[in-house]
Amino acid sequence: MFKLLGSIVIIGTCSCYGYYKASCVKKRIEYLSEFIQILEVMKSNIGYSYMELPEIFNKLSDNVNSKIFKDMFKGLYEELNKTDMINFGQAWNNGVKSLEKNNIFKPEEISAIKELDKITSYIDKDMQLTYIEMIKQELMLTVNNARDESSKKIRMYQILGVMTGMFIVVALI
Amino acid sequence: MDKLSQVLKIIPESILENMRKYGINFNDVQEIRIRINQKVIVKCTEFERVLNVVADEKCIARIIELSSNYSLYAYEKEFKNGYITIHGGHRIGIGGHAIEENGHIKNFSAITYLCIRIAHEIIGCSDKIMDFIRRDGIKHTLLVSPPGCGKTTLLRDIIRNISDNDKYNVCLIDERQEIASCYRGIPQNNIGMRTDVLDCCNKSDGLAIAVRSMSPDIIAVDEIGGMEDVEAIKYSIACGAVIIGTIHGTSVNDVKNKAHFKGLISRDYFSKIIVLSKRAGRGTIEECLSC
Repeated sequence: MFKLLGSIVIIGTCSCYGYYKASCVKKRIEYLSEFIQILEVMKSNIGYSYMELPEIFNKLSDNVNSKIFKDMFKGLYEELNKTDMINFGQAWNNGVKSLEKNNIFKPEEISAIKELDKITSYIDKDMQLTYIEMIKQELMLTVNNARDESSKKIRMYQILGVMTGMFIVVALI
Repeated sequence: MDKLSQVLKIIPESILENMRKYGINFNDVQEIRIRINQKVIVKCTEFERVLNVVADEKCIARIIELSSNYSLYAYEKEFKNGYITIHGGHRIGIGGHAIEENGHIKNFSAITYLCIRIAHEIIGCSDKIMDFIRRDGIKHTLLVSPPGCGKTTLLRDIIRNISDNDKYNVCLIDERQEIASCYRGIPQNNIGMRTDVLDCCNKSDGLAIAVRSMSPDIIAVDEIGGMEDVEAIKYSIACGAVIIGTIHGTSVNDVKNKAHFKGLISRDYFSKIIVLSKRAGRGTIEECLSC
């Protein structure tokens, strides 16, 4: 009885972990796609309405779907409006740290997002738009690669989770 | 937040600390000059002080970042004109490596010089000459003065006076954003409740728009310059608007001697002239003449 219960718990836990890893893969793709849309919104606001960055971040914090980005942009807006303001680069990197904590993005994706800290060093609007586009293209490449691999990886994690659980049960028995 | 605190917000703490150390009263500050790798110079009403702090690239970049609210692209047009106006009406003149396109400045690739001009409006400074301006009705009036004698400050207060007390609709063509000092379209100075502002608009276009669509009793313009300005003013006068403007010059004759201003000082055009100087401080009224 206890053995059966134990086996179910072990298989269940390992399966859940497998499904969790699979969902992380899905989530990563969703978040990256959302961030790419965010970059498009930034480009539009900069390119057409010349909206200032703190306002853009405030608007994004209200309009984005994911909590991680809502919190990130809300935090950025608040930080940039403080009287003892730090420079933009520091504020942006602090915001990206909050994304890192979620352990969803890969290090190279975090690096690409961090590169936006240099956006205010360009005086020329066209340069800024080009710079955002460059980051966007980098992330799009990552998303496309991730999508190609995702179906295999998701299946793999799900099966691996169940199989690992079963293996542990067999090993213990 | 008061106007002065808006400019203090963008100045690095190292400079502010130095200013406090020298006992500089922030309310007396007219200008802060920041030059790359040079000591910062503060110009007050009565004196100039060289601070013991050297401006480096980081310091200048920081000021630009804060004054543009991290959004230099939003001030592209202002950069082309060589300055940006920040909240509170203060103006930051910029210098450095300019990028030209088709003979005009497109942008700056490196900003290495800043001139922070602190806006000080003096409410009531025009009270002493309003009797002259109002005598026999408000007519086309010209303020003549060399640079730095307070003609813009005086014009601002004249506009406020006419708008609030004489109850005329005034349209202000604020080409260089020095009078209303609009920030995001909102005047940072008191220019009266019946004043409309055409901000960052060149005089010839602004005068035409004002006459056509704003139905002004009085149009105010600052720094009448070339032939285009003069023609636009003559057109507005012909359309029935009363013009109050300023012009660079040391005296009435100095203005009359300028080729394209011939005939502008006459009964048909500017019949009231006010000449200013710095003789007894900024805003000294040397003479008031009627043609």
